[in-house]
Amino acid sequence: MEPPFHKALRIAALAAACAISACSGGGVASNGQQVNVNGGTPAAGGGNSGGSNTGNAWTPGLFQPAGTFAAQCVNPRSGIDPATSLPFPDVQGSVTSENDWLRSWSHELYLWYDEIVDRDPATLPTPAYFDQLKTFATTPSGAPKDRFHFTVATSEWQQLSQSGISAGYGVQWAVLSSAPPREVVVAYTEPGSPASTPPADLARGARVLEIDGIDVVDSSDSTSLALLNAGLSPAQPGESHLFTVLDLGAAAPRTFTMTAAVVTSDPVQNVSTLDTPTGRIGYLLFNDHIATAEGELIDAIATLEAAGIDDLVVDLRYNGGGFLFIASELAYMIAGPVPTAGRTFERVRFNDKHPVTNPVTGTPLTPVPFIDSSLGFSAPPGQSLPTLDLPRVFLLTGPGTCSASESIINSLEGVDVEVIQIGSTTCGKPYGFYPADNCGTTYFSIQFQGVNDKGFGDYPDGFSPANTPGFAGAVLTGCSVADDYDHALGDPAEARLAAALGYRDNGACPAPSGAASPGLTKTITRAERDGRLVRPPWREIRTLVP
Amino acid sequence: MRRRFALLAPLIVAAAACRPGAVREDVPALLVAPTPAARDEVAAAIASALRGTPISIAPDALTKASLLTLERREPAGPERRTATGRVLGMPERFRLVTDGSRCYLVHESGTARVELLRAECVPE
Repeated sequence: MEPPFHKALRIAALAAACAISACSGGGVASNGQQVNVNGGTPAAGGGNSGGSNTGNAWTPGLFQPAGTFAAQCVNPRSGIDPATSLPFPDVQGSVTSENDWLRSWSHELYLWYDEIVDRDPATLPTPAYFDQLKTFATTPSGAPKDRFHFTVATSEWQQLSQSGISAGYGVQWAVLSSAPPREVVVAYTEPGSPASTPPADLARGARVLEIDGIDVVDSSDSTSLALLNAGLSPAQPGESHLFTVLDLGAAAPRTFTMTAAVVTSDPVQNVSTLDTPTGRIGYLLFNDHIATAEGELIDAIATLEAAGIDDLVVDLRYNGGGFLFIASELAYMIAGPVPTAGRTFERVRFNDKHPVTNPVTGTPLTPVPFIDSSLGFSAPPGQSLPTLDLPRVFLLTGPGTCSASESIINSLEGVDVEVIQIGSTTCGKPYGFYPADNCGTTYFSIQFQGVNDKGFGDYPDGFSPANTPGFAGAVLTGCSVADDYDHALGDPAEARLAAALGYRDNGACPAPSGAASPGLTKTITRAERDGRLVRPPWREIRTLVP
Repeated sequence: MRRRFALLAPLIVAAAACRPGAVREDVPALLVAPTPAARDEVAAAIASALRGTPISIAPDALTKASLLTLERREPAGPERRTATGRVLGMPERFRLVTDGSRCYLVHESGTARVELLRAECVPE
């Protein structure tokens, strides 16, 4: 028999399909009713179609439904929209009509719509106008309240990739110091990838000294930096670069050629147990909430359950999130059925115009439960999930711990499963969006906040262990510990895992060393030690600076 | 698939023929040594099911597991990195199946079912 949540999920997935496919130019009226995207009258090209109720001129504080202005483009697209299989709805419009759509869409859906300063849509180019359609308030740490306001070309956003594949070496670089004396190290590698097999044989902690003969540590000219960045993040399979690295503990560097390939990432690694005088501890490294993680997490928890562990350490330090339902499954597998029965994993909260209905999908705002059976991401659907039934869990975190990973923390706290946080402050993103296309640009504007069973979701400055130096985000029990690239992940001597084991034994932390709220981190310094992750090509930040 | 099933096929057909009304059931399958043409056929079938959405799949896709999931790429940029951090819903899912004589690609999160003419497969 299909579990109730699976049925609800099928319905929600159908409704969400539009949303995750970058809905084309839709919108809702201020009364919450869906608006036909083609329901408006095309604006006169180049004129001020206005954002007022009259449709002729901008009147501050008056908004027509976004649908009135949808798909009225400076450069209308032609052909078939792959998101709908229908011809693109675009008609000739203007910068102002595109801005009008953004203005109304933001007024309808932006989480903090009442903090947007209403500006004349005829006065700015569209990218600059969009940049103004957000709050400019700051969080308690002084960081911008909205750090997640951006656009992507719709043609780029519509691309899909097989779960976990990327063109690269299969190494996660971490930049410990982005300016000279620069330090780039290996955070982890993917099994079977060019990075983890001969001739590279890279392991965590290896320091990159040269790429294609260019000094990584001290180069500062722009040409060298461009070449170094290109070498760190190859664009295509088959691309080769010459690396000189100093392996952890090695006396002398070595040089080898590494060739990029299509790499499949392994989101769950190093599943193991540690026997201590006070009990058996389970450990797993969980790097990404991609579809293939579901099956691997189920296998990992089943293994640890069979091993009879007394405590669990989940290493989330590099996990930037992904599918929220996978986060719910893992939270359930940690906590078990008793504390989670009938409780909410996460409730999505839109702005105050939409208290009961998801304004994008039109479905009721039902909370995401703790999911107790597999959903079919990569495991057969409908299988009861194994559980550890633990009253507490140790989570290793860093600034790369974000979004769905933070939902694991928040949801467990919401049902009184103790989260002991070891590491640095997390990224602070309790928010989400339904990206929307208009005229070939997909807009990301925060539309909802996730809250736990207790209604808590205010962690814009992240979660911080209690003894974090400087400004802390939402404080949890635990220890502030910087990342330790001198030991392998899962090694009991690795600083964060060692601190978890020590805290478990005696409730004491080592001297705090982790980073504070990422909102306060302007530059990376060697002392912070947490580093910044260098992502695969399409995720790449040009990280090295003069 | 056809190669490996060549010897068994008559047996399967005969067995099915002995049971009036018997219907061959799909079973999950794996591609066997896919040729470039077979990989192209798989990619084309997926793209067609997704209405022409550009896709990227690994050369060894469907050779190790019958389920293939497709997700959005995380766009470039420091703030864009969070675009895929809190995703509601499910990925696109395709399953390779065989009925004992032919290979099909089934869009589990949709409705498409495409026979693959250039691919060889065996039960998973």
